[in-house]
Amino acid sequence: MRTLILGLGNPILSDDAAGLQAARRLYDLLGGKDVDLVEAAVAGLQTVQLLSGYDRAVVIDVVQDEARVGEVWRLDTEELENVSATSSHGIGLGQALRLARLMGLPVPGQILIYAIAAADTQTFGETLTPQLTKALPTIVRRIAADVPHPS
Amino acid sequence: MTEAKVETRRISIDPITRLEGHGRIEIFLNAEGDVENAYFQVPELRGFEKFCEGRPVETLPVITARICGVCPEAHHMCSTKALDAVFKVDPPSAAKKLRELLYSAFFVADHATHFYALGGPDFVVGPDAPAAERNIVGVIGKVGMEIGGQVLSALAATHEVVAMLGGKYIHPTCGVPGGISKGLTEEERAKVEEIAKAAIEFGKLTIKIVDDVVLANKAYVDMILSDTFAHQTYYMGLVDENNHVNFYDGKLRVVDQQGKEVAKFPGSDYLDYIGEHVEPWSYLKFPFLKKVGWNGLTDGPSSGIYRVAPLARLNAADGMATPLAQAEYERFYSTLGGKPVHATLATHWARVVELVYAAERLLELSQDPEITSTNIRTIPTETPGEGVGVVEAPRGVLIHHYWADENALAKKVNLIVGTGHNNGAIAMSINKAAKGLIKKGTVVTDGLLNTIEMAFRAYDPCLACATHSLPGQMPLIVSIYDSQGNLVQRLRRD
Repeated sequence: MRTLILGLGNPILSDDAAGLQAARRLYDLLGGKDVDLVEAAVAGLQTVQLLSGYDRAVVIDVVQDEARVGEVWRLDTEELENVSATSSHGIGLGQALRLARLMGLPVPGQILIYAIAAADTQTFGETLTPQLTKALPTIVRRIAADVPHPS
Repeated sequence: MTEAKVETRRISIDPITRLEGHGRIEIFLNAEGDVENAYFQVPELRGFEKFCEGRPVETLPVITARICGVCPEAHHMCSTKALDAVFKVDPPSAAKKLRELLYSAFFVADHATHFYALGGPDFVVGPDAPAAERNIVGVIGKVGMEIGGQVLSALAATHEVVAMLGGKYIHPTCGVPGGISKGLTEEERAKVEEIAKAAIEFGKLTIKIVDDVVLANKAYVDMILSDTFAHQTYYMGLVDENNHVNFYDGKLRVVDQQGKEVAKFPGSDYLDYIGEHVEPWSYLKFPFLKKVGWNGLTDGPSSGIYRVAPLARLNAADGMATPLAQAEYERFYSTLGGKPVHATLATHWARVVELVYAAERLLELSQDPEITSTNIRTIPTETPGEGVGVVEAPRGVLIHHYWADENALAKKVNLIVGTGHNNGAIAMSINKAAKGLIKKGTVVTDGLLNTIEMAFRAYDPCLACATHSLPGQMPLIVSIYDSQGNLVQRLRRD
């Protein structure tokens, strides 16, 4: 079973990099044969290109939510697929998955999507805020608990 | 006193009160229930200049490409050209051609994405269609699965060209002062040629969709040409020595409301021509033509507001440098009533004209005998200094201006992005659409809101915050206030 760990985010936009860092740590925990790590700052169609060809994917991204910094949620892909596009660019991940399935592309059978609540995703900087730095190990453990080692 | 109160409410939209990375439209009604004013707000990314200061200037093409995941190629290319100027070095001709080849492939992919996934749904599925259908899935449902497959293939193929030269998927790393770090082998060149031929066919298909779906529908054509979506502004775009549209290099040309040239200058002189106005209610500055002056958010010859991006590029040029694109350019103006076209929604068609040009240019460059040359770098020998780079990004003129010290460390950085140039026009467009569509007693529906959104979607505004917010899209909040400044309706569009 081929697994992709996909971290999404901007590495130079403070907490926006949390998804990338969490993905890296998750890879260190799970890594090995049949597990790939990809770090990217893309959305929509391009994400689907990255996911193609894997049996399972773990996608980790960030949402700005000052009130709940350090929490992590797993999102329902079905719910995402029903969200409409009002973006100025790119299309949503959910919509892209819907499209990929419609077109018969090889989308992973299992996609786990995580959102990490962040404090600041709008200031350029190469470090996470202290609160999120502290929470990161717990976040990664929480995600790892959902992801059995590939057999 | 009441006025002062309302004013306070308007400027209370500051980063502290912002909830998330939303785009916001604020609509203010007067006592009669008509629209007094409407504003578009975008979140601000902070501290970019400071982030760059003190870094080796040659790292800026990679850093600036990271500003956002939407058009990294444009920032990378512009930054690389700025470095040519900083290091006072002229790349070999083959290097310039390779850069332009990569850039043409990028334009095909970016314009195709916008047409099929973002702007297209409004026309192909319809502005009044439910939001859940107004997307690329809905477009493919309407035009057919086969076309869906072609869209995805074209995107994948052109991304392959970018990756082939760029050295990295998504964020290119190939640009260096004086050239490019990687050339093309004969095998790669043949592959690019094949991709370019397919891209031209894809462009023709897209023209056919414009014909069948948009131009054949009188209601759409009437909407495109309606006064609600028109502004008589100046237009700016990069042109080659024949005044043809060019994305990679040339001079900046400005035309007036009648299409007459009023300025033509090298990008390095931009500060002589472009001023930046500041409004208290917006983080984004409002660039304007210095020689005309800032006259508020109005159009006409006495207002220095100008527009950039596809429609502006076509208006600011005398034509396209490739045959199919030129034919479509001529049809564009003959269909829409002559030059210049002021109808903002015509931008979508202009984008398709450019898509065809980018594909044709990609083919030309792939067949250029020099394109597999290994002479792709001029090594800089001068002491670094100040430099300006200019390219056309898909969203309009992009300017990078760097100041480096003698050790090539960045002292200061100034960027003007496409959406920045269009800021005044976007604000006017939303205001005008809101005024035209919301009258006393109008019930604000989803379809109506979408029509207002269409006014800014045509500009394909680049809001760096939107690059990857989790669902990959930027939620929009529309707030409507009464004449007392009380919030009467808030609609959230996710």
